[in-house]
Parts: sequence; C-alpha cells; structure tokens
Amino acid sequence: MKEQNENRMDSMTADTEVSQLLSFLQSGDINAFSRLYDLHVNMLFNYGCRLTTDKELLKDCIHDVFIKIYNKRQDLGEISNFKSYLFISLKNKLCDESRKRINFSDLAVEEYNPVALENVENDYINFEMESISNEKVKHLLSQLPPRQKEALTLYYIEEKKYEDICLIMDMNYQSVRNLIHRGILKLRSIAV
Amino acid sequence: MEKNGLNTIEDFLTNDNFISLVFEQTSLLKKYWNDYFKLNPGKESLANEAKNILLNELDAPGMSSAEQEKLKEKILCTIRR
Repeated sequence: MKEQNENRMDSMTADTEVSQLLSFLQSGDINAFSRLYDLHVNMLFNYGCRLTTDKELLKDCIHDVFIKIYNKRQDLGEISNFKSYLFISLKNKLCDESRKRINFSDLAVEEYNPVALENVENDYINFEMESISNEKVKHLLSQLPPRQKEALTLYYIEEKKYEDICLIMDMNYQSVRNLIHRGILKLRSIAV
Repeated sequence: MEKNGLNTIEDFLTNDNFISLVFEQTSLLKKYWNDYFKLNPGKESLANEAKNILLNELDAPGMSSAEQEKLKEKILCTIRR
C-alpha cells in the first residue's frame, strides 16, 4: 500500500514536470523540448517496436512526431494527456509511412491491413467536449446549423451510437462522422 | 471475428480510444469502455494485457543512450534549419 502511494506520488510529480515543460516549450524553450524528448523517447521506441520491426522507419517516425510537437507548440495547451498524444501520433505516423511505402512494394493494397487509422486531432476534439458542461454545450449547440445541431445532440447529449444516428438522420456512416466533425469544429470556433 | 474489431493485443495498443482510456480515465471514456466490455466480455483479458504493456512494460531498455542522443541531434538539426 505504502509503495503504491509512493508510485502515485512519483507519477504525479512526473505529470507536473511534463505540464511545466509543455508550458515552457510553448514559449519556445528548446531545453524544455529537449527534456521532454529525454523523458519519452525510450518509451515511444518500445511502443513502436510492438508495431513494426523496421527500426529505421520507427526512428524516422519518432523524429517526425517530435518535429510536429515543436512546430505546433502553440497548440500544446489543447492536449489533455501528453503520453496518449505521443502514442497516438506515433501510431498514426507509422501507419501513414507504412501505407506510403507499401504503395511501392509488391503487396496488393487489399492484402495490407493497416491498424487503426483514426485522426488523432479528431479524437482529441471529441474528448475535449467532455470537459465542457452539458448546459454550456446546449447553449452553444443552439448556434449551429440544424443538421449539425441534431447530430451533435444525438451523439453527445443522448449518447447515441453512430449507427443509430445514421438511421435516425437517414445518412450514411461517413456523412454522419463528417457532420459531427464539422459541428465540433464550428462549436470550437464559437466557444473560444 | 468481426471486421474492424479488436481481436489482438496490437488492435488494443493502436486504438486511439483505448490509449486515451489508459492514460486519461475520463468518465466518458470509462463509460464507453464499460459498455464495450459488457457487450464483449471475452475481450477484457486482451485489453488488460495491452494496458499492462502501456503502463508497465515500455520503460524497458530499448534505445541506447547513444542512439537517443543521435536522434535528438537530428531532430534539433531539423528544427534549426
């Protein structure tokens, strides 16, 4: 029990350090960036090793993930958890790169089964919604175009599944996803 | 096996919502996954293995410090360009 508490303390301290580093990085501190790299690179490498055997590809992808973090440092405040952001970014990058490279190989595209292809930002926006209270959401929803409002209400307030929303709104899966995605983007632009 | 389903540890390790659940534990995520495991009770042990990997097994030695430094130099070099 005692050990568990200590572990929790450790991880809390680590989280605090990471959020401090992220805010330093936002103001352009390259040492904070370097420290963030030191803290996470081995973990990311080990994660990547579970998904690919190509170590050089993996390192290239880790490189690109950190470059993106640096270039998009102004938006780092929107990340709710840095570790999951890193893992999801690396996974997406590995998928993209494998797909690009597979196009040049003999393997038929149909035989290649890439892992999850969801867009990381999309998902982050989805879960950002949770931090906003329902009342505020309802108020903001009333400012959206009717179809977007309906889709978002079904999804977030009534917690319907995409499949059900497709039936209710008589739209196909992708259109519902797009509608919800556009609605969220709109909502964010109103909310800020 | 359902199409697009979560059938292997790797499927869980690469699922955005699952990764978020492991590190964030928000009520929305927890609700989503509770529902999922209620519907798919057989998937829970796979999920637990994946969770254990994400939380406990990624600190193992992987990249040597020399490799880490080399990659960091490359990244900083790209940034300076």
